[in-house]
This record gives sequence, structure tokens and C-alpha cells, in this order.
Amino acid sequence: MNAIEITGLSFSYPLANRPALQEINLSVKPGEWVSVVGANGAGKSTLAQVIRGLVPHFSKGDLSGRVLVNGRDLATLSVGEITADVGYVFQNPFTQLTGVATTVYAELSYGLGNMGVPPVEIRRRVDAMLESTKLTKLAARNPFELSGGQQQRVALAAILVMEQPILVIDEPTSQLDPETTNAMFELLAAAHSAGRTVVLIEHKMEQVAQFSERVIMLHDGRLVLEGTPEQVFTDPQCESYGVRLPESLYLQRALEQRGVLLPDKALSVNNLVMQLVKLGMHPRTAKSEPAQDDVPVIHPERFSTTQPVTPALLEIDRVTFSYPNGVEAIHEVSLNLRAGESVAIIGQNGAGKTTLAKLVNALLRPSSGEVRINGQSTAKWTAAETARRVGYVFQNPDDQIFNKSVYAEVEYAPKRWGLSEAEVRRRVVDALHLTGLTGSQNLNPYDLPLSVRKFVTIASTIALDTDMVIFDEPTAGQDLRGLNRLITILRELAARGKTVITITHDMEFVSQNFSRTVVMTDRQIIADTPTEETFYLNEVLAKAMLDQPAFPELTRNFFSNDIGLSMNALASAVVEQLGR
Amino acid sequence: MYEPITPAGNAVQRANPLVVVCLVLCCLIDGLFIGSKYLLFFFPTSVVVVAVAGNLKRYLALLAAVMLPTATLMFVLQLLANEGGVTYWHWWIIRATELGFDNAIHYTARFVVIGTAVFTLICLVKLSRFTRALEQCGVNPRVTYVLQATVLIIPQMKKRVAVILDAQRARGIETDANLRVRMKALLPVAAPLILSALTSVEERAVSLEARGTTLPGKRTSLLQVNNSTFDKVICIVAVLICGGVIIAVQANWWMP
Ligand SMILES: Nc1ncnc2c1ncn2[C@@H]1O[C@H](COP(=O)(O)OP(=O)(O)OP(=O)(O)O)[C@@H](O)[C@H]1O
Ligand SMILES: [Mg+2]
Repeated sequence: MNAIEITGLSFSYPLANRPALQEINLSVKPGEWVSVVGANGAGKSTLAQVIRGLVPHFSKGDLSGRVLVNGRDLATLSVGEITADVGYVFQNPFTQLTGVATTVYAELSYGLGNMGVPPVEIRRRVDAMLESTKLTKLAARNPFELSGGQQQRVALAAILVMEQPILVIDEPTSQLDPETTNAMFELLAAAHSAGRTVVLIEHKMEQVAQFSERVIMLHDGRLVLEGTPEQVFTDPQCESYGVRLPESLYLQRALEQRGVLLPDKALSVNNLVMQLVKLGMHPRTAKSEPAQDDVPVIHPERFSTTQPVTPALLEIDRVTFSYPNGVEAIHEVSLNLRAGESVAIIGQNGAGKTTLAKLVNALLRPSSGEVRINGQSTAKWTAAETARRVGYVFQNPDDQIFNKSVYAEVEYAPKRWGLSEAEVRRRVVDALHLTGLTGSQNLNPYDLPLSVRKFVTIASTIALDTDMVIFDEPTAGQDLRGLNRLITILRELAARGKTVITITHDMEFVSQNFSRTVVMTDRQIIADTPTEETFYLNEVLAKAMLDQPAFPELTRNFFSNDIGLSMNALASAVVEQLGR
Repeated sequence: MYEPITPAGNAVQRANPLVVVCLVLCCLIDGLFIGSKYLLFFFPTSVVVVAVAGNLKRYLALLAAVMLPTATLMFVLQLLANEGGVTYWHWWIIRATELGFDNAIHYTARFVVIGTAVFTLICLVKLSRFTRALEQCGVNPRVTYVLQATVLIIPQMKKRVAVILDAQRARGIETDANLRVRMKALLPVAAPLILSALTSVEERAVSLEARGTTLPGKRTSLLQVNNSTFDKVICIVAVLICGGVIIAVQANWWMP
């Protein structure tokens, strides 16, 4: 008997102009790991909700076809009964907390109590789950007073602890730092090897390729590709469906374009390294490893000396901040940004990135220290006055959206500022155009998927036309198109002379789009360097729970750090070594 | 290591919330029958009990913020709205008379009794323990869930208001200069506020669903509310006394 058996499944939401799912046939064997990939809007989350029985029991619409879970027809089961078989982590990490628990511990034990698990067993399981999700330290905290990534981890842990035989998990790592992402995948792998069935929706293709036994690709509601990760990712059609490939494939392609031909498709950097070694490259031996990189933290002053001196637009001067619950989130942080500069802030979950952004934007006020903009302290201004100089795109778009249509949302602030009608219109049209939302301007933001809602908040911030903009996790949950759109926006803002801070967990995105990167961990900035150096600072990366992007991960096997992030430099070094 | 079960506190903190609710309700009903003099007993007792529970600060804050202004307003309105009997004091067309005074005392006292009872309950009874106690008595978990969800609506709305004010502040719209500015920021979003509260109720329902809130079968919990025969006896005695007082007052056997 299959764990999941779907035949001829089609589904349309009410009022939608095309079906969300069309003629899907899928069977998943017990204990199998199937990953579902596809562009935003391809129907992945709807499929997950069908398997969980929320569609059509909860979200109404037209469903045809048959869905069996553990041999039982979902049409005959209540949503409650399905809970016993299927654990479901849904996409939006910010709405998964039940609100009935005041501690992380209670949040995890709640589901077990509903299942009637004896108290002794509840304690054993919750303790173990907290341990393996590294949440033990946060057990007594209120789940609503956690960072975005911490909340997402709690949501995942709260489902995993219930130990249902089938897990349906929708983008469980979108807000997680790279190391925690890996840890969560290890956890899923452990559940999988304990015999549980995993259906995973995920944009992080390296992990999909590494862990899944089977990958299915959805496109416009249809199942268009199916097979092993290798079969799917090397299919010539794959890219045309708007998903990112595992990064190693891009590296391989770039090498091929520069004349380095490899026999097999490399689904991982390790495989790429192996093939290069087979071709005759010499891996660096432990001996040639440089002494543990003792590169000192490079302070912002360095930039003002090496660059033509323009005055700092933003000066964060020894700022410390504690939340009302006593948690110190920022400790003596200093950072300078020149006008027109674009920097990335990366670092582990709970490091204080969001808190720092809110301190700059004056939603929070420093406990000590000072934030200056154009040399003036923001302490003298109201939050609103500061916000007219610094736009902030929240980590959770739903914290920011409160109007009935996309247009109204973007127009709201400029209109309230009392700008002329023509100017308001100009700004709104420009912001909608830049974010690709012109066609959706009359829709209710809440009818758009989370990834697009993020762009709604970006548009409403661009329309403010502030000198400085802070993006908090804009890359989370975005497909290839979304990422490209973001790159366009960043370039356009740079062209307009805006100062931009981007907070993200996407290391590839950072390595390809920023020249300066700030690393935060445990309330502090621990590195502030040119990006091509950042990703070779092994100690810093480890401390901040970060990963190397594919490029340095590859090069460090063969060369010393001076390759930086230049593909041409890598290719010619490879060609040179192979030529010898 | 975090200890999820808070060690038993003093008698008030440990008390079965159902017993607490029963006792306070009995006090409330008696108070409505007896009137102002009853407050001399009820009010100080409530202060002492809440203080023992360790929640005095919140209690006093609630009284000061809600009860004091409302009760005062009520008293003044009642005082001036009714005329009759001896005139104690007058100025221009405003007149405080004996009848007005009696009426004011009558209604305000009952209002204060209700307020005292409600705030005492808020400060003594933890929602989680209360619903758990109900479950232990065999109440259907769906009922306790609805109860819990309803009580949580207000704090969630409050949170949502704070979030929307932040969202506006972040877009350069003044929100905290004074009450008028605050209203100006909130009014245009009142409708969407309710709308988004409803959407989040829906999403919350899904997240609760995912944790098996509607799973058939029995519930367990780390939280155990002690449920003794002694508790039952107290409740029965309280109800009897309460009934006795009502009969006594109605039959005019005894009028405090
Ligand atoms: N509202 C809050 N109340 C109390 N503590 C909070 C609150 N929000 C965050 N914290 C705590 O402050 C610290 C920093 O959180 P912050 O949200 O700034 O982290 P972050 O770097 O943005 O993390 P993430 O990558 O997960 O978004 C964490 O320890 C977090 O638990
Ligand atoms: Mg954050």
C-alpha cells in the first residue's frame, strides 16, 4: 500500500481563472522522500494542502480526482482524523504558532497533548526535540518574542515532535541561516531513515539534490518532470520552469564556457571537485593550507581611507539594545555607510539583524549609543521623521500590509504625506513597475502568495523615495524570477544613488550581488569586509553559522584565497593547472 | 534545563480555577443583592487574595484605569439625573438631591461589585489552567478550544493594532504624538484591521488544526490541576451560603 496515492487530481480555487492543480497523478511509497519543486505559483503549496486534507475541507474550491493517504480516501475523513497520519508544516513561518502557548516548551507539548500522549512521554519527546533543534536555551521564551528564524524552527520542531508517519513540509528553512538549514535537513533525514515518509517543498536545490530520492517538478499546476534528482536537474527543460538549479551546475556551465569540459553533470560541489581531480587537478594538501585565517575584523574606517572620502550617510555608534523582556539583542554595535553604498548583512538566526534594522529605522530606540543620519542624531526625531529618511521592508510582509488593494497599499504613505496627486501617482506607478506588480494592482494583497506579498511591501517602501532602504530577508522563499527581480531592483536603487542594506541568508545571492558584506553573530558585528574576502574567513563563517557559497567551496579545494569570487580567474587557473 | 511545570505555589496559586470562579461568582451574586455595604467586605478581601496570588500590581492598575473613571462617571450621572427629597447642594441648574444620591450609591455599588469580581477573576485565573480544569472534568476539548480562542481575540487585536501602528511609523506617518494623531492613524485602517484579524484567525485555525486541536480522542497535558473532594465541598458550601443570603435578604429576615 502506498503512503500517498493521488489519481487524476485537479483543483481550482473559487474565482481563479485557471486551475491551481491539473490532472496530477502521484504515488509515494512508505518511507520515500519526495521533493516538490517549481516556480512560485506552480501549485506546490496547494498540493501539500490537498495531501493534508485542508483543501478542500478548509479552503473551498472545486476538487476532482482521488487522494488516498495510507489507503484511506481523504474525502471520507475529517481534517482532525488526518492529523494522526500526516504532519504538516506550512509555508508561512509567522502564522504557525498556536497562540495558546506562552512558552516554546508549551508550544511543542501542545500537539502531543492533543494526541493523548502520556505526560512522561511528552516530556521525554519535547526535551529530545528541543535538544536536536537547538532550542533548549529558548524553552522558557514566549514564542512570539523570537527572531524570524527561531520562530520557524519552533514551528518545525512542534510538528516533528508529533512523529506522524507522513510529513508534508512546505519550505521549512526559508528564514534559516545556512548551518541551521543543514541541521534541519539532518533532522528530516533522521526522520526519513526512521521510516517516515517525507514530502518536501523547497527552493534550496543543493539540499533537494542531496537528500531526496525523487523530485517532481510542478509548472502551472501540472506535473511536468519526475525522476531522480539527477534526472530532473539535468533535464534540458528544467531551467525553463523557473527554478534555480543546484549551484554546482552553474559553476560547471561557467567552466565549460571557458573551455573546461567535465564528463558528468555535477549535482554537488563535491562531485565537481572529484571530477576536476580525475581530470588531473591537484587538490590542496593539508600542508599547503594557510595558517588558520587570522584576518582581523576589518572596521569600516578602512573604507573611508581606501575610498574617496564621502561623508557617512549612516553612522551607528556603539549602539546597545535590550527588549522589554530583558533579552539583549544588540551589543555595542558600530557601523558606517556612505551615501550610495549597498551592503549585505548576514549572520545566524537571532544574531540581531532585524533588531539592528529597526534601530536604524527608529521603530526601536537604542538603550545606549546613537544612530546618526547625515550627521544628525535620530534621537531628536520621531520614528515617523526618521522613517522619511530610512525605508524599512519588514521581515514578515504581513506585519506591514493593511490596505485592501495593492495600489492602495503602495499609495498610502505618499498620499498621507500630502504629496501632490501627480507625484503620488508617479511614485506608485514607478514602484509597481519596478516590482512587477502593475498587473496585480487591483488585487487584495492577501490573495497573493507570500513571496509576492513581499514585493508589495518592497513597492510601498520604494514609493517613499527615501535616501536609504533596508530590506529584511527579501530572498526568503523566492524563485529564480523573484531573485532576478530583486537584483533588478537593487541595481535600479543603486543607479538612483540610494543607500541600501539587504539582510539575507542566501549566500549565493550575497556573493554575486554585493561588494561589501557585514557578518553578525550573537549581538555583534564580527566582520565587515569586501565580499570576496568574507567567504574565505572560515572562522568567521563558522561562528556565524554560515556556509561558503558554491564558488569558494570549490576553489578552496585547489587554490588559495586570491581567486576571490572571479569566475574568469578560476577558469584560467584551472586551465593553467590542467595544461601543465 | 528548563522546568516546564512551575512548582506549586501558595494555596491561592494552587487552587483549582473552577473553585475560584465558583467562589467569586457567589460573592458577586450576593453583592448584587446586598448592595453597597457588601463592598466593605468584598473589596478588601479581593485585594488581599489577589495580593497573595502575587498579581496585586496588575489588579490595581486595572482598577485605576478602568473602574475608577467609569464608577466616578456613573456616580455623578446618577446623582444628577434623579431629583427628589432633600437637596444637598445646588449650583445653577445642577442639583444633588437625596434621591439622586441614593440612586447613585445603589447603581454604582452594584457596578463596582461586578467590576471587582471580573477583575479579580482576570487576576486570579490563568486561562490555561482554567481550560485544563474544565477538560479534566470531562468538558469537550472543542468547547474549551472555542473558549480559549475567544478570550485570546482581545490580546491578539491589541497586538495587531501595535503592528499596524509600527507599519505606519515605518512609512513616516506620525502615530504617537497624541491621541488625535493616533486616532488619525488608526481610523483609516479600522476596517482592514478587522479584516486582517479575521484572516489571521483563519490562519491560526490552520495552525491549530496542524497540531491536532480537533483530533478525536482524549487529551493529556503537562498541566495537572488538582481536583479534590475538598474542592467540591467548598463549592457546595459556597453555593448554599449564597442561596441562604439571597433568601434572607429577599424575605427581609435580615438586612445588612
Ligand atoms: N519582540 C521581541 N521581544 C523579545 N526578544 C526578541 C524580540 N524579537 C527578537 N528577540 C530576540 O532578540 C534577539 C535578536 O533577534 P533578531 O530578530 O534581531 O534576530 P535576527 O538576526 O533578525 O534573526 P533571524 O535571522 O532569525 O531573523 C534574539 O535572541 C531574539 O530571540
Ligand atoms: Mg530577522
